[in-house]
Amino acid sequence: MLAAGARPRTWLLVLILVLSLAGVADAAYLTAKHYSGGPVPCSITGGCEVVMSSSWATIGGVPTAGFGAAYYLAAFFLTIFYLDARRPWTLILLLALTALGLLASLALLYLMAFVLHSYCQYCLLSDVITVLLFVATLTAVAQQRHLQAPSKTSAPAS
Amino acid sequence: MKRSVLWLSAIVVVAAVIGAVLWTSRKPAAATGPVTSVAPSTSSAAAPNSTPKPGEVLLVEYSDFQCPSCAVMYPLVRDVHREFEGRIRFVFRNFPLRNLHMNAERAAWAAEAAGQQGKFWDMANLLFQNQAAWSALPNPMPAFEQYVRTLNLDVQKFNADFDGFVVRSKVDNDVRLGNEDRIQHTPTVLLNGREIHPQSYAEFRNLVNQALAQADAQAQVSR
Repeated sequence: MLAAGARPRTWLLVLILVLSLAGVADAAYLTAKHYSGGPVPCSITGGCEVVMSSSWATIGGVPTAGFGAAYYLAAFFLTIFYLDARRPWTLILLLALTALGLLASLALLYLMAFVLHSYCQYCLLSDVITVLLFVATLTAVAQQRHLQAPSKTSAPAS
Repeated sequence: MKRSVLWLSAIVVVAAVIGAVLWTSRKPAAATGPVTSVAPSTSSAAAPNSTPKPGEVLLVEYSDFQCPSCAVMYPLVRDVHREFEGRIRFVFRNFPLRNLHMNAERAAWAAEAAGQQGKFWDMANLLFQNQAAWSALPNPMPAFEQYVRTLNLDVQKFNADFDGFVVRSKVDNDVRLGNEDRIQHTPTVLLNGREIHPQSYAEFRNLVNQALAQADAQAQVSR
């Protein structure tokens, strides 16, 4: 399996791309709802309109979901850049970015659980995506390190 | 060449995803022109027969007076009923999300109590229009009583009906029907039993026209 080259397996990178796109769709939906003023339906299990109308829904006037959309877009294009240029540092940067995303998600989850006492299903979906994105990126970085290790004394990977 | 294809594909995919999201999340546009009067003549409290006649369509809305999305949907449903009056059997069902909206059930009782004096829709109008004013109140009754006075209703009768069996059982029955219909969110609009998600008045009208055309065809077949 090591003969595949000093790069993570393709399916893992595709997974990161798909997760990023799902995150873009989710966060863009909430961002669009914020600006259009059209409230999300009130779910029997949710409290999305409570969360979306709280003071935590915006940071400095910018919808929190907008930061999420920018984050997922950055993750998506960083992965595309990695597929294009194959620079190992790209994945390290992506790992740092997704770790930051994970921390932000945990903070927002804390607010929903202990401050607002309401859960927005779209925010929970984003939390799940962020966790999966971090795990996938961590795996990709681990594969890259694992695969690169034997090649330290030989020619660097392209 | 390969690089440009990769980047171009990525940009196209992202643009398509964002475009699709923006399309689905656009705000429902109400009918053009100001809406001033209350259209539907069917009082919810009167428990209208929910079986449409031949050539009619059945429109059921499950709604929660404290749900912001219901306040947005309400004018659309109301105007559709106004435009197609006589061809639509419209049933409004209360589905207060009790664990989520602390004043929703009391608002439903208020609307049904006003309905006992023939002013269900006028009260529904006021409740939706002033949703932000009463939603967060620990006790919304003073606000509701103010609406009762605005509508020139008998306050004593309103208060008696508000606490009465007829109103309470009507709301309970609506919720039971909603649970039977497996309602997951409000508003839920069912056109001939099928859930629809109209994003504009024009789209809503088209859906109703399609259902009416089907109802006409079925009515002709059954003759």
